[in-house]
Amino acid sequence: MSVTFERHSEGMRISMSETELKLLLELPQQLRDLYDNPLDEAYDRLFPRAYLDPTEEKAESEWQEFVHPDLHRQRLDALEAVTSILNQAGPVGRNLVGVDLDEDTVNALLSVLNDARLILGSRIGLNDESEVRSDLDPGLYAAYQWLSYLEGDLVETLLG
Amino acid sequence: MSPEDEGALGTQIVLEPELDEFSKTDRPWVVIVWNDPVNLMSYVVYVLQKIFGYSREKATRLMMQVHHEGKAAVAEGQREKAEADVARLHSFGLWATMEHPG
Repeated sequence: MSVTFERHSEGMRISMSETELKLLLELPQQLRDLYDNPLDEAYDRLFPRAYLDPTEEKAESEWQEFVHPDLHRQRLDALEAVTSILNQAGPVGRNLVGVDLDEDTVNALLSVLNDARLILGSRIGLNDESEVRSDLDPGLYAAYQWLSYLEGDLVETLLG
Repeated sequence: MSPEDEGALGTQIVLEPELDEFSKTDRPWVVIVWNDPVNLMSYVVYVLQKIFGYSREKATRLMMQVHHEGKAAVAEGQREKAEADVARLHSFGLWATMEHPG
């Protein structure tokens, strides 16, 4: 794995192989499909309820009506920002491409990575940290682990 | 309590339930973050610091509480503030809800 995040005075640089860039560029389209599909099992995880109390149903639906369009729009904006910045990646070293991220594009990338992991986590049936299902789809699980590594690295870089 | 009762019962008795009503609705809403198997521990710390401006120590303590106890109260306030907090937590992919104790 060669994706790296490096802080510098004006933000952060992401560097990666061409293959990794292609994989990352696939995420926004996959997420876009899901954001527009409320019937998908992972949808409720991305857009959960605010109130668990069933007697607050009215407040819940008013809240959903009020915030859902914004939450949905923010996610679509993050996809566009990530697609746009990654498409600007150019050669930065031997067999590597990279691009500088500012605060907004860092946040957008973090949002995309985290949502992709939430969705994959739902797909592969992660339901307990201590147990991994024996019938896990190996391809999905590898993708999940790769994204976890990437996101962990990005967060560590942000936390300094 | 109906207006007829107020006249018959006198000020003292009428005021008490009103005060109780007031303190009940005035009691803060609590914003809860629930444990989930996907969100990274470091990410939860990062999000709590970013949204609430908590110190690294406080954010880490709350994250560990979520991790070990399954949930933690991360903020409280009036209904509108709690609703806004929950929305922000959802925008970061954290599983958050709000409740009114008592």
